[in-house]
Amino acid sequence: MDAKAQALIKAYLKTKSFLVVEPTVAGKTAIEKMLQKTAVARKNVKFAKTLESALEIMKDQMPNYVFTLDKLEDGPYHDLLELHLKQQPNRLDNGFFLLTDNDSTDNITKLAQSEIDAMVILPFTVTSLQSEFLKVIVPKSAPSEYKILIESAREHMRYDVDKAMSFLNKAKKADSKPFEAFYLEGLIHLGDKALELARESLEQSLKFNPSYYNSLKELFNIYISLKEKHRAYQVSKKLSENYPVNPKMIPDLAWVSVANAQYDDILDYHQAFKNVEDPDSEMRNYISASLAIYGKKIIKDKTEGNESVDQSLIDRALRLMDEASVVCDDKPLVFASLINTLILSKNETITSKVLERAKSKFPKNKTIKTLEILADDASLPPSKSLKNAQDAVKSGLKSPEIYQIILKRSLELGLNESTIKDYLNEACQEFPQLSTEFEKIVNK
Amino acid sequence: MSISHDQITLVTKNLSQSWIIFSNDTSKSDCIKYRDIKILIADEEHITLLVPPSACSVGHNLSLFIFKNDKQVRTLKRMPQDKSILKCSTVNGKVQEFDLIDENLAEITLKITDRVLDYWKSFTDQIDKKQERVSELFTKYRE
Repeated sequence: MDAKAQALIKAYLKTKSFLVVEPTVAGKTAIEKMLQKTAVARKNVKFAKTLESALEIMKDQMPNYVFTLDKLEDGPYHDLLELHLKQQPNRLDNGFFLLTDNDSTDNITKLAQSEIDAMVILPFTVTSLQSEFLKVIVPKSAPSEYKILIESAREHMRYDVDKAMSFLNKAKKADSKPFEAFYLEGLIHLGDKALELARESLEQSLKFNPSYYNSLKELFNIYISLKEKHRAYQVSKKLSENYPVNPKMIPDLAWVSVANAQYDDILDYHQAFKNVEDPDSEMRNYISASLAIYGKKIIKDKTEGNESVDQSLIDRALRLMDEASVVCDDKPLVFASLINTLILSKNETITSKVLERAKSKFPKNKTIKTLEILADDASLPPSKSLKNAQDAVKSGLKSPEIYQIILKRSLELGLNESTIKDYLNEACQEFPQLSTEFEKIVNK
Repeated sequence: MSISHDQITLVTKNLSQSWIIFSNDTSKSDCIKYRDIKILIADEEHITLLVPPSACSVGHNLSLFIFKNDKQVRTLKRMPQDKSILKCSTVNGKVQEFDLIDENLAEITLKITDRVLDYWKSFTDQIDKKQERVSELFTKYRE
């Protein structure tokens, strides 16, 4: 580092106070040593071991910089960060370092989208600690005009939107690629629920930086709200190409891919899923939901006579739905969706396999019990299916589909008119809004 | 940039860490409570760890067994006599500092007395590389 940069850092740090929240002696010593090496005076550093004592010191001293572990003995760090942001809204003169042993992509992406400045991974070395510190301090010690305007805008975003806007308008002229300024402008519009204006700002932001995560994320949500499936798809591609995909987003991404007839994308998510060691329940549920969406679309297209859906596509869809029922951890609705689709597919083998899995996972679930009756209706003789349906109704399991089976099969078996009329009345009583449908069946 | 179907990765909660157990050569005891042992700081000559408080004192010589994953430590019911079956790296050190944090946790700093130089250098290099990787991904979201 050259002498000029060093002088700037020294001048910057001279006026800054620090709070180090570390319960261990070695940790405290290491951070203290690092700070002293970087021209911070010992008297400017305060220490605390617990959340409570740290909050006390903060209320009293209002330190510019905070170093803290994510988990302290009496609680997590979030209250410290909240207080720090309130006390020191200007983040050029202030900052927050988090020490954590959690280097999972989940933690990194969460923290990257939070207000902390950097995350120091435990265990750390003298080198790793100092390099993170300098990465934050150096730009803050010599900020560009643009950066100053952006930070001023951020400072006022919460409580004085007009002021923030005026800083942003200046910022836009202060840099050749003011993507962050347009992003923040987009956020302000979103706060006012002005979707179209927000969209314009965010699209501008991406013109200057096509892979800027924050703008991509917000714009994706806007396009989904506005039902602009093509644009949503373009954004989703940029996201999944440049950033690890959050499993929570997979059902939305799957919907968008399917809406754009890009079925192979779902296979990509599925493949990425297979590469994960020990996927957790949440991830399994999201992936199986996306496979259910995939299967539903393929089979629906087939039943509607779409000629581009050939047998190999159907076979693959069936295979993936089978797999979805294995992967799905605890979402009965995913099973319900799979079974509904499989009934349409008329593939009895896979339908009954998936049904069995659903029943063993959710023995008391009414939706699945209903679906079993529907699925069996296709393969059982009418008298058996009718009995199943009647038993279901007697046991309290009432659904329009079950009544439809009762009516259809009773007619088929030639039961007498008054019996059928009784069934019709019962069905119309339970589901009066479907009376016309029920009457249509009987009057065929 | 062409769309490559190989490139999608999912965000996971899986984190990477080392797992440690140790023998106390001075008190002739072992500590296999790997869940209660954690490395906090490492440099060329020293290592700071969190350990169960009764496992050692100042001046004791410890042999640290460092594992890349918990597959083997999970199965250990006791420290094996024959250490060669442990799929790990070994570092020896003398306890220079001992601080009680609470009834369950103590912080010790070891001066490393014997290490396979290449291994230890690569261990501390790995720490720096991990921080780099984390920092790179973190920054990506903000630029």
